[in-house]
Amino acid sequence: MRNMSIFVNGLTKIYKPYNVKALDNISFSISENIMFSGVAGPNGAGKTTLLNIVNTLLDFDSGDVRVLGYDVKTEKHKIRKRLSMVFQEHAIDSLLNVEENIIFIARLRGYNLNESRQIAKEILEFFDLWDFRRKPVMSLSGGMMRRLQLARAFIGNPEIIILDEPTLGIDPIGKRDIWIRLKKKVLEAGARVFIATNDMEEAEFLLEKIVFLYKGQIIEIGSAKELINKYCGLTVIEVMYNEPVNDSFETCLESLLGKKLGFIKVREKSYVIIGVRENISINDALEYVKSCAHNPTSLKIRRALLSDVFEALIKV
Amino acid sequence: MVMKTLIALSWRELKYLYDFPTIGVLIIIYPFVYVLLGYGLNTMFPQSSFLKFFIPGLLGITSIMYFQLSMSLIRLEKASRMLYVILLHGVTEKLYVLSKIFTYSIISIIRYVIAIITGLFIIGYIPSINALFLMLIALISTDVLWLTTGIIVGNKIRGEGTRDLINTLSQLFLIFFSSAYYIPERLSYIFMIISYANPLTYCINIMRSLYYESISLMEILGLSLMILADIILLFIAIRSLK
Repeated sequence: MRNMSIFVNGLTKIYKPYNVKALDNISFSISENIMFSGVAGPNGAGKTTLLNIVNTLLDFDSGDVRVLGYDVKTEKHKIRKRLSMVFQEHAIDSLLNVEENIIFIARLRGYNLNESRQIAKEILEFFDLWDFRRKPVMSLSGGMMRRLQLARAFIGNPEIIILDEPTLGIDPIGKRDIWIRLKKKVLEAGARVFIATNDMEEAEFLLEKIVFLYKGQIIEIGSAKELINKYCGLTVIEVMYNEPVNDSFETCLESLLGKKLGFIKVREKSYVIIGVRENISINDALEYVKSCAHNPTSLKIRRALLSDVFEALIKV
Repeated sequence: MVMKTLIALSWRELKYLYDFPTIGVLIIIYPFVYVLLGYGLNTMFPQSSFLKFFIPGLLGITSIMYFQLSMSLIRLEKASRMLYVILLHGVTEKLYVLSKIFTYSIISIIRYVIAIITGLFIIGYIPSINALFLMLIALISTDVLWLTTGIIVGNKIRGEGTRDLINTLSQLFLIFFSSAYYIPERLSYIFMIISYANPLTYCINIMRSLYYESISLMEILGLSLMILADIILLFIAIRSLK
């Protein structure tokens, strides 16, 4: 357990008033040499609950959870000294300005005022917020607020940083900007990062190890590459039909699952996503599709993505 | 390290109060309006000094603002998740609550000095050093009592509507059904019962006795009970944040 940044064994969390099982006997571990790991899954999967247990804020019913080798129940203050958290919401002090927000946290981390000012300058410059240092935080855009939260997370060189949906509500350019800055800063600081996300592009871009959570249970663990390979193959075909496909179409394609097709997902009886295994050609795959139903209206062939794994794993 | 954290937390709290002119209202405007009211009543009833009676009451009713402030701020900190951000940066729940007490005690001392000087200038009265010292302890003890109660209540309430309702009711019942303005025994029976069910009555009575330099065993016992209540409430407030 010593060489694990996060160790979770048999974790169960039940929200008592409603008797909702948010986490159901989950177990996984993240090795110390993995810099970026995280938990992915749809809304309500239990990701934020897991994060709030790992960050020591939330109690749980049974199991063993250790962060950096420390028990979250009995050694929470040791963990808190080494951990930093970015919440899903904009958890920023709205009554302080940008620079004051950083200085305040630096002072809590034990730096004196001059050191805190210096830290604020460096970190705000890195996250491109220095020019806005005197601005009230409420005047910042969503992306800037996220960058400010990230900047705050690096104060005091934490050993582990936990991020809950760090790019929620940010536009694609803003997202990429945050991912790149985050990656650069983490590599520079040598911290470990654990992220909760339902953005599969984010998971694919950042995470070396992904724990897929669904309805409080782990349904898959692995790297993006491993999971894509396992569930989709290299290529995905997206097919659109004008007429609704019948049930026999799905049965027909399902007979090819495993050997030739990675997965199939039919939506609204007219939109079909098919993962193609490496051992068959795209043309053959298209022939299989055509043999199972009438000709498609539109067809798109593209590289398989982690979002396809999400489609394959989540039974919605 | 503890001192640095305490100063950082207090700086932030004072900045809040300064940016939103709470300090000005709490220390100057609110007491000033009440002193004017007391002065007016003083001229209406010249046979006894109402202002002398009222100054300890004034200190008591401004303590109720601590209850309202701490309840609202803890609600805000929880809603914005800043409370969790602070706790996750190595601040213990104990230190967090103590920082609030430290901050508000600074304001209490300023409030206290202004009230005593006002009394000296308007009615030409100032108690002895011993009485002043014990009265300051009684005031800080009163403030801790309401501050910790505010933290406990603010931590429990869920909605902004509940907060506003409690704020309004506390303003109405805690201030007006206390011994701040009147002697409860001279009120009608039902109002007297309500006044004696209100902890603020006891806080003001102790401060008033000390202001009138009536320092007997009863006052010391009352003050000790208040400090005991503070310790219990402090413990509950810290536990409630865990």
